[in-house]
Amino acid sequence: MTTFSEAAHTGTTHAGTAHARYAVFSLVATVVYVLAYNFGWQAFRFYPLLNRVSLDPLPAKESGPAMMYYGWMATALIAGVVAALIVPPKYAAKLPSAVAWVVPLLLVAFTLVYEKHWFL
Amino acid sequence: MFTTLLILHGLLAVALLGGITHQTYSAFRVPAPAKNFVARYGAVNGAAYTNAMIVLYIAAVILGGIVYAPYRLEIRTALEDLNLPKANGIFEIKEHFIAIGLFMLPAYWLYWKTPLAAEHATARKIITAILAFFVWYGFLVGHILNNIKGFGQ
Repeated sequence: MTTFSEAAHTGTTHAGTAHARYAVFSLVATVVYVLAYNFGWQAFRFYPLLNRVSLDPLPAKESGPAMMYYGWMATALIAGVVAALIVPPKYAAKLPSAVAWVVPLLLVAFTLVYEKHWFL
Repeated sequence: MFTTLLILHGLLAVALLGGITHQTYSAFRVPAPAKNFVARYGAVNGAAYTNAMIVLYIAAVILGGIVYAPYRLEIRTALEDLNLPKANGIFEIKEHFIAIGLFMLPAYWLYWKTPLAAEHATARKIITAILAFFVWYGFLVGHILNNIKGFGQ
């Protein structure tokens, strides 16, 4: 498995360490998104009937259904940006490129298992 | 208005579908003289597609996000009333796949950044194939659900 630091060292890429943060963002944001919908870590709820965003759950009778999707995405976005900013580039560059596709494949598998109740 | 936005969302999805499929095919193609239609289809500069695919993906997500709220009130409720849990299930999977794909875009951009690193060819191929799968899945599910119940029906 090739890392960015190895590729930069051999002169085969100019992506190098500076851009390795992008891979960190993708890794953290995708994982946190799945954790967010699994554990209910939405940053906020959106109530389409009221066209209102709320940090706390509102009574369903008056407010209608709550949408968590935007809140899960916001949680993942924040986590990804924070991780990309705080992980030192030299460590980010050591991330094997295989992580960028193995993890999403695992998340796809998890998603299918998580949502199987609709089909049983 | 939502019907118009949904059509625009669908048109963006068509453009994205064509582009990402082309790029995926080109990524997996073994370089050789392009002698027939299929070979010529893959004999494109895959890296040239990257930025356009990212813009189209984000634009499609934004439009999809706008029509999602009225979908939640009008369509999903109707699907529940019609006792169609599988239809809701395939949509739930769609929303997760599209979100995961959205957050994969920075890595996708990174591995398609020119000059292309030979060491990252596998990552480039598989990430693009995963995104293509998400786009195809999202497109087909959106089409199926719109056939079951579209806005204003």
